[in-house]
Amino acid sequence: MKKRKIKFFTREDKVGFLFVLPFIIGGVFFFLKPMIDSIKYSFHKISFGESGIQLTAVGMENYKTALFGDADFFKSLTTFGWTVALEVVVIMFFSMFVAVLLNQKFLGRLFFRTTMFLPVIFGADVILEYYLLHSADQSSSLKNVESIFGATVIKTPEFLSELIDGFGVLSPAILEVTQYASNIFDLVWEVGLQIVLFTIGLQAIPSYLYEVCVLEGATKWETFWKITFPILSPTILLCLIYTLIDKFNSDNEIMRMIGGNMRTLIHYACAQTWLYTLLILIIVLIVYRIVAKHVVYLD
Amino acid sequence: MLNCKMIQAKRVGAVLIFWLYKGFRLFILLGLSYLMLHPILTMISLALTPPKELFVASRAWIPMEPTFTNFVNSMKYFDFFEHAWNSVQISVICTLLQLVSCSLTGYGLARFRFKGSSVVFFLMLMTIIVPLSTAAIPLYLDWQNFDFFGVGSLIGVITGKPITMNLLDTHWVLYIPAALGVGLNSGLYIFLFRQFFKGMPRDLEDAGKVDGCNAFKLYLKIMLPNTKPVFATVALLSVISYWNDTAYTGMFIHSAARKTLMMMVGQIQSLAYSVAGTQAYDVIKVEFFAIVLLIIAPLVLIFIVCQRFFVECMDRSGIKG
Repeated sequence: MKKRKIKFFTREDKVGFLFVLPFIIGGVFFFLKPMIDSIKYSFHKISFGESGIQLTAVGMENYKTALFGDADFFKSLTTFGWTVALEVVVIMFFSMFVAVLLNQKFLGRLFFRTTMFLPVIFGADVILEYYLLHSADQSSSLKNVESIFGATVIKTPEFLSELIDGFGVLSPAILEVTQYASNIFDLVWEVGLQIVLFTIGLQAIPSYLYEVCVLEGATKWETFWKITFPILSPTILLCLIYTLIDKFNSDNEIMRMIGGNMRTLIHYACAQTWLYTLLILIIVLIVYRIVAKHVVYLD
Repeated sequence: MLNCKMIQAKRVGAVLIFWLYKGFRLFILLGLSYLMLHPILTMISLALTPPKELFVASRAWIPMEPTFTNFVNSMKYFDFFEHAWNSVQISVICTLLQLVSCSLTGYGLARFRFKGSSVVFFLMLMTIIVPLSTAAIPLYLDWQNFDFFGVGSLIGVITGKPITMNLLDTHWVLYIPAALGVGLNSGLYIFLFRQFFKGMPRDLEDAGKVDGCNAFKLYLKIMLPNTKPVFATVALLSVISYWNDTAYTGMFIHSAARKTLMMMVGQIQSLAYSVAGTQAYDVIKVEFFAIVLLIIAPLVLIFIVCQRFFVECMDRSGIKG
């Protein structure tokens, strides 16, 4: 019996290979090959000669310039890293909060849920462009329908900023938080998929656990931290990784900086993208390692 | 007696807190929905307003004489149907190709263990994580001198004249990667398919095996009919991402005749900026809103059709782990 099973599996091996063959071809020609080319470029100096591209080997020079010679790049890389870290924390808390609210039973839940789906359907870009158009022309005669909550409109009120100044050492931290409150428009349009993921995660929690909580006399607060939060932890991990990758891969200042270099200094831009990719991989790996330790699986 | 009163007081307090909480929840959710719906409602309202009414100070949400002139004008001005045809072609064909390639790869990764299957899985993860711009320039050159996966170069080694083709500025730059599982978000879809197939009970396939199905028939006759929700979900996500994409498409497609609708949005926007401050700006802006509404309308329709599958699939795709 055992012998036959082994034989069976060796036959299946080749079949499985056939199933993934298209992906292997695609991955090699449209992912690995360009990646290797790009690594090659990053160690060379590119000039356009008579016969197309000419490469001159320069060793690590491009990387050295990016890390030590280009103050701009290194500085924006670190500041961007911190911004992403803060934003991801805010996004996680906010989307979980909204998902928990949407998971309760009340009138009009379907309406609110569908509304929160909107950013998933038509991408925030178009809508954000709408606000850019509106704010580009303040003297416009259309101003009387200007949004109250528009991305550029909300400013921290004066009395609040005075209050914040009163905190002395802590005030930068508080300003950081209020800044996110002001950018709530951008935030809401970014968390669509995260809310969807959390909603699904919440619905997957078996209801008998909550019944036990009621019988044992646990408060809502305790129920959340002892039942909901641990069972939701795999979803939190998934959301966290997704948000991180999404943040790094979407249009941002680093990408724009590299994109600008792509036109003139291709070899330097390649070195920059590889440093950036390395940063992403390290951050994702660290976050995964730390969070995965604390994830609880129900089964 | 005292005890009874205390219980009563406690209950009143609890009821009060409950209602306060309900009010707070409604307040938060209404506020958030306002943020979501306000731009869209404003766009609809402005797009329906006739141009002459735009500059009336007493203009309100609902225009006095709603018209479709803005829609008609903007459609004429921006060759709407030409670009819409491009968009439809690209999203439909790429979605179908992605469904085939990603589901096959997902099935192969979920059900078979072969030499290097973990390498393939790792490759798939890397395509998700590494940003597209890393490979932009080499990919551009590859598309410029497309050598049919090395075959053209190989012939070149023998005959001294490699066969290459310039595929830039054609829709093939989108179709070929989609057919080979490396299109937009393909890694994510492969992962989704794999998770979903893994969650299916093996019994069905065992029964099929006993009845003499080969692996491909198992996939076609047993897996496919039983996993319609995940196919619908991936189709929805894929259509949306190809419809909305400007980054990848914009890199390789330049000529105006082959541009998609979304690529036109940026163009209209820059046109609007160029006349900022004049009355023409407002007219163009309103036409911009009209065209944006036309662009996102099909997505909303598709979403309404697919929503049921979407929720069902996400429920079962094993996000739990």
